[in-house]
Amino acid sequence: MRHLRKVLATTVALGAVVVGASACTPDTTRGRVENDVPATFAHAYALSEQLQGHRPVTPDVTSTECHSSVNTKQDSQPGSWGCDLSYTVDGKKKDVSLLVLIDQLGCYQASNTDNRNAMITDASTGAQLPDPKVGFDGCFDVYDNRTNTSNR
Amino acid sequence: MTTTSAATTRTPITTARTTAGAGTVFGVELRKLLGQTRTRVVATVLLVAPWIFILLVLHQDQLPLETLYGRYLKTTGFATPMVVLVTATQWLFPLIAAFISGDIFSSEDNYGTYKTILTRSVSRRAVFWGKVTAALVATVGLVIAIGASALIAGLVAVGDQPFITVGNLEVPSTAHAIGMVAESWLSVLPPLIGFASIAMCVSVLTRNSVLGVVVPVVIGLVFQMYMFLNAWDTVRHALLNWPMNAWRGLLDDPSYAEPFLRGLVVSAIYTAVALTIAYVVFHRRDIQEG
Repeated sequence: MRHLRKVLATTVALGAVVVGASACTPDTTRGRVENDVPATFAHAYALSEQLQGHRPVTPDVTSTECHSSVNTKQDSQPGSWGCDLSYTVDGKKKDVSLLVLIDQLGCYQASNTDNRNAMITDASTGAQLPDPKVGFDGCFDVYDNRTNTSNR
Repeated sequence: MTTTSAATTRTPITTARTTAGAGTVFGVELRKLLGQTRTRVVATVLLVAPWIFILLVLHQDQLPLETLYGRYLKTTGFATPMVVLVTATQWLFPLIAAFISGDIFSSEDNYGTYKTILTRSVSRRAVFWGKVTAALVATVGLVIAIGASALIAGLVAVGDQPFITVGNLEVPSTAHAIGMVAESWLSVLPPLIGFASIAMCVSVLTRNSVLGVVVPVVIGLVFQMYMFLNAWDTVRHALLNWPMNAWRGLLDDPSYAEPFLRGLVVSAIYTAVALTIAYVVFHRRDIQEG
């Protein structure tokens, strides 16, 4: 009986720790999304140019604002997010709106809401490919210190 | 006089007895595993599957865009092993671990051969660790072989164009690209060993081959279903399926190893707990009935 009580107490204590820990640190936060999406967009843009045989230009993302469509109160949790990016490339200022679908593993698919089906021709193979510039995947570190959520 | 004679006759027999170690049991068990028709058939199917997959992808217009690396299947041959890895971590790896390790102990119960083995010159410890090592080596070997097959399939069917990282940067060096693919596949081995250990634990506890295979698969399914839920993140991090995705951080730009390092701890805990329970039960069990 004493042994059973010990096991129960340990289980309850462990459960409390798990619940307590999970209550304050969501994996998907606005800080992580706003840090990762612009960097990956810049890489995907350069990759798109490179695959087409152009000079690989990396855009300079000047501003990013992302919000969750699922948890509008706190800007956290996986699901659908919207990101508005402003960037300059070759001296020209441009904007792009991305629909970002985030999964529970901290990975996402981002697509340009205006032109998500654009295709490019791979200069080296001649194959038709989805343009990485308008649709790309990425992942963020769910253990980093960018735990800030909404500051709207 | 008779007593002395008996004693002198008995002594040489005792010293001549050799005790087979875990290495001998490992060799026998590995040969048994590799000699099974079902193991050979399943291994062949799993090794051929990536080739069929990439050939089918190349003959259609659509790409599996919803899968990480799916959009790059026609861009670089290095995407093939990555897509296979993404799919395999969800369902296939727990199944492989259970299939190989789930009946390595219980099959002896089914055939009633424990009594024969353990009353010969093999200790229980040697039998236990020999079987555990053989099951782990066979499981790990099959997974590495699938990775190698998928990589060769991609390189042959698509080509060795530069690898693209999770962060969408090109890796021009082929040797570096092969290293990154190998790194990602090797990073799933700790949780894979965890699943294999659970399978062996169930095999020892239930003495039933069907349960030894089915229970770990069900555990893997339940874990995977929780991974899809929008539930407590900390619980998800403690499940054995979580470290199977740690390679995404290793291949990102900039890369981060925290998920992998934490995953190592999680996998080590599952492995240690499962094998300790299995060892204690196996060590104490009564084998009088076979």
